[in-house]
Amino acid sequence: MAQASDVVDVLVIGAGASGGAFSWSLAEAGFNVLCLEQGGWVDPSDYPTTQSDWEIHRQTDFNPDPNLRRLPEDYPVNDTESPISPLMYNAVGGSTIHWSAHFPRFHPSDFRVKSLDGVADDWPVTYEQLEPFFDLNDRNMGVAGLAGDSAYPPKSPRQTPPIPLGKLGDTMAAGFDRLGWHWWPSDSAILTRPYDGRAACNNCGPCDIGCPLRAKASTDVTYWPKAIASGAALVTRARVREVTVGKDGLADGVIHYDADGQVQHQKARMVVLAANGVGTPRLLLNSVSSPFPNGLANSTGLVAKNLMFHPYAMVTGVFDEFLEGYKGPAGCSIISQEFYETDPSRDFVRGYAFQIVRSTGPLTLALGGVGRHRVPWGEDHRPVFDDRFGRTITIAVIGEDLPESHNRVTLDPHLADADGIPSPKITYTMSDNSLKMMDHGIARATEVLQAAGAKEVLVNPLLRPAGWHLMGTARMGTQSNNSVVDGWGRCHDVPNLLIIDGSLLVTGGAVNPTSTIQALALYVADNVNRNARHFLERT
Amino acid sequence: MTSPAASGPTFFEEQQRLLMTCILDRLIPPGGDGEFPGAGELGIIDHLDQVVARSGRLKRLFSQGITRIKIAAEAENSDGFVELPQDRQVEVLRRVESEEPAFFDALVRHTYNGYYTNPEIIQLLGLEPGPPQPSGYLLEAGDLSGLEKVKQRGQVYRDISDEDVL
Repeated sequence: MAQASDVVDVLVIGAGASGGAFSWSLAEAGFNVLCLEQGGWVDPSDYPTTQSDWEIHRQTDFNPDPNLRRLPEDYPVNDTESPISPLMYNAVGGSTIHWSAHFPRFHPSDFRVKSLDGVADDWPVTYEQLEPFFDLNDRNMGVAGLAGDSAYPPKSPRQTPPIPLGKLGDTMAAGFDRLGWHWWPSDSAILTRPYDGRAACNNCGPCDIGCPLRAKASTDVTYWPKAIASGAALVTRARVREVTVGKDGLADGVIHYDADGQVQHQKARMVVLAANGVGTPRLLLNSVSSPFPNGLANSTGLVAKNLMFHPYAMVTGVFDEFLEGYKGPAGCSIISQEFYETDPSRDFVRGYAFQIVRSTGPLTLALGGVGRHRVPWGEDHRPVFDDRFGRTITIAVIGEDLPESHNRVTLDPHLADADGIPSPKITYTMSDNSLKMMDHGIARATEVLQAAGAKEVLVNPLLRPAGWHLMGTARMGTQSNNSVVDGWGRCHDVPNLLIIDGSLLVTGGAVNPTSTIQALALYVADNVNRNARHFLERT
Repeated sequence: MTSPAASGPTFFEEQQRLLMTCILDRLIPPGGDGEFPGAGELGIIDHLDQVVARSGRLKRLFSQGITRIKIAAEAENSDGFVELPQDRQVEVLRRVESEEPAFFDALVRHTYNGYYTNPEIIQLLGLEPGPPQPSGYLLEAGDLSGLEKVKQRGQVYRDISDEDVL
């Protein structure tokens, strides 16, 4: 039986990248904040990087795919109608527990795609408006990088020096230099010096299976300790089923299952969704009431539509030289934004980035490495393995997806989580623009790897387990018939219901979105602090 | 995770161990001018034994798959797989790979899992056995001098004019 509990001012659903940043901001400003998270706290000393069978954990409890990992806090996802599998993680820290900590920002043009290129839409915010929040987020997360990058307007100083390049980075940089293409040490949310009470990275390699040093920024070690010290409450193992609406048509709380599986009704004056670009639309679609028969805040029918991923092509160069490629943060070294912006002479609009990815440990290489090219069994095994081990550089080609309404999340008719909450189903196809873009990117990546001295290039044109970035499903906009939320993250239909995760993004950019998502979350929190206190005066 | 020598349920019967050891030596043969042992002679069967015994699904797959290998081998030589010349053993395995893909994929994956977490192999690869933490690695900062030319090329991002701001 649902039990009433004390009404909180601000109820945040999801303790990940955006939930952590937002909760900290409002707790600091003196608001009464409660966050409900369906996962738990991860103890950094439990990460597999401290165990001898660490690589095997990528196949089991640290598998990035929730359908294969199947922890109690995971929910199954129907991804059979998508060539890309969404990869989310439920915990304090959310998907930042697994992430590689790439931290590039979106660019000024990313906020004006319609005005500049005649496709997609413009955002109701600009890069300039977000700048102070990008800088604030960088200070809170701790960024390794280098000032002076010509791919951006000048930024505040990075908190620590750039991630070391090593032989691998030097080899790749020489390829870019030979072709005269842009490259720069990639902004990374990884400390290269002690900062803010956290240790520096010691270049062990597999950031994706967790950082026992807390050098990699995940919000459980950055925002949450400070948010809690400022009075935010965080309840784990609390799985939200739906957002409830009062007679006045405003959100009045959520129904959730607590750690004992009991149903609870948590009341709140303001509800904030931070459950990622798949989890948030799923929650909205599961929240049906008579004013909202098609899902909460969904009078436009736009909730859960315009799902954007970043298509990833993995282009792997094999080198004669032993590059010691397993040393250093596996995902983070240098980035090239040579092909980021639209070039009208090409047969597609928008563009892509190259994130340079290092080599892997031995087992991961044998099973396929970054691009999933498994080393064959038999006579060829030893020569192929030895050819590749520590000698690969992979260019991750990240393409900008355009928002298309047929790419969407729906509620699966059969699949549900352990509490019976209907699971999300992903329906997604690559657009023509994306296919042409990725072809171009693969060709350019091959070219620069050869310029760097690669003797062989292996191509995976579309990586399936690459749905790290979930965007667009509750987009922002000034026109209430063309968007789900307004320029401050408030649902047009339900003004005390806010959304702060990647669902907001109007366009996807061609770089990892977490820096931009968190900056937006801080921007939305700042507006609540300045302009939205009237919701808290409701009884 | 327990070491291969630790006790626990096992799957392979005594008479299957010779067959499995031979199969594993075909999957990862000795190599690198004899420096690297094959997966069979290294004893990776113990890893497989533990892993398969703990999974109902793997027990079913392996029962069926190993039977297939035996049948395919006996069609070539009534004395079985172990007595075949190595190149014929490989042919048998390739055939079973296409006929029982789920089994064969699991066989290869778990063989690689056992081999590439074995301390002897890790040392042969020039790595320290053990987890990446707490020791980590030293890594050189690298050569950033090429960035001068990058900067000289000037702005790479696209400007937004005032007209573009709605």
